Amino acid sequence: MTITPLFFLFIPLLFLVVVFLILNKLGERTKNIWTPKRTMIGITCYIILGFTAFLYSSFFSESTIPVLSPSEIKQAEKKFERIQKYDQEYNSSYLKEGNKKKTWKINFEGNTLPVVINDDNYSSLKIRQRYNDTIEPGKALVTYYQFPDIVEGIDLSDEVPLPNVYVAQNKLFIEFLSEQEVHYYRIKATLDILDFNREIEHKPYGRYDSYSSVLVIDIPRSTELEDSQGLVQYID
Amino acid sequence: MQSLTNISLNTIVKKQVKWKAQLYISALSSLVISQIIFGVLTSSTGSGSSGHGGGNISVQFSDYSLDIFLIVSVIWAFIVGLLFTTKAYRMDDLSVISSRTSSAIANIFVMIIYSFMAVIIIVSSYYLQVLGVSFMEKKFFVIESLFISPSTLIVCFSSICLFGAIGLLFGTSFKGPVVVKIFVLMFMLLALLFIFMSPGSINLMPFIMLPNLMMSVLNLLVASLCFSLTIWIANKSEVSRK
Repeated sequence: MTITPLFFLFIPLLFLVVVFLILNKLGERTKNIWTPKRTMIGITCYIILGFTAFLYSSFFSESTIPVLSPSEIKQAEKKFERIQKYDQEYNSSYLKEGNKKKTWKINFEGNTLPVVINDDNYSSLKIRQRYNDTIEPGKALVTYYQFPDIVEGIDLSDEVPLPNVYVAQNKLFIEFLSEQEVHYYRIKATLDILDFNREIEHKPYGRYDSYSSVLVIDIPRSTELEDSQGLVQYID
Repeated sequence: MQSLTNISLNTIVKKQVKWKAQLYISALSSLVISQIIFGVLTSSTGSGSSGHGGGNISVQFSDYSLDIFLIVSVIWAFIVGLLFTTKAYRMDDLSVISSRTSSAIANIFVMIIYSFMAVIIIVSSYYLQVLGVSFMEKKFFVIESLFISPSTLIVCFSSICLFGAIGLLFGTSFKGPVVVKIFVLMFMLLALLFIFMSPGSINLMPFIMLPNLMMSVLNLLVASLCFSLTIWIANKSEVSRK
């Protein structure tokens, strides 16, 4: 064992001991003010306050963020596996209307559309190219599909920032925003030190984001998509 | 004036428990104050945190669990256990009819009562912290579980009891016969040596993996052993009648 973990273990303990000893000394000095009866009243008030907080939290504290149960996470995991299977078979049938988040209509000149992708975050967004006979030449549709992005039972899909999609110099630019940070304050009325070690083996706890978002570029059959970075995959 | 009335140990202990539970109530107030301090200190970070990165979104979780309040309480129980055996507290025994054995038994009962009270204080502190967080962080406030299960409360009670029992045993050991003092010192020395020489050999995982009730039973068994040893040592250090 190195010195650092010992230091981090003993400093809070030492702090606690010092706090207790100071309180004990203070208690001795304020014995005349804090008689046993008054102390008992104070402690009872504190307990009543805690009970009131519990009642308030039970009836009025509401979280708008639902937490998925382990079985729901398992179901989502299976769904992701299905999506992955369809995608690997170049089958776009998993891209449903309900998962559409935004569509960009773009215009360009000629029969070639070069694509430039700026992704410094190595985002998990998949970019797919699909031929669409209903689209006129010189036009394209870029559609962003959002699937659940589950982390420890919480769906982050609403927090995922959309990429910037635009045409400049007759090139299609797809730019990802810098990494966004989301901070959740989670209430777990348990002993986390026990649950954490126990749940490692039982609970699906990881992140299922490999197919959380897909960007589809629909182009007419006469158009060629120029992807020099090799990041765009064909889908039927 | 001397009294020839023979009072049973049971009656003496009962009186002492009542007397001590009221007299040492300041110990509970120090627990309340330290829980408020630690509750405020951890109000923004929680008892623990975890994070997930990857893609263009990173997630941080601050978990508000009972851990920090339990840690504070078990350390409090250990210190209170030790303090109960100090000279200042033993002087209070003179106010009522007592012997070292009856005093030790009374201390044990007071420790058990205080452990129970400490669990109630933990629950109060926890829900006050939850309320504070719910007011401060409304948008990203997530309730995974709001109700504390009875088995968790039993684990808390047994853990506080155990540390209180260890504190009492330690304190009583140093007031006991010389043989006991030497044995305790040797034990502590060996334990420290063992911890520093091979820290990897201390594996608490099998204990942590036990179900809550099983863990509580184990805690209470060890606590009972410590309590019994405390009484035995107190009995040994009794002023003998010749």
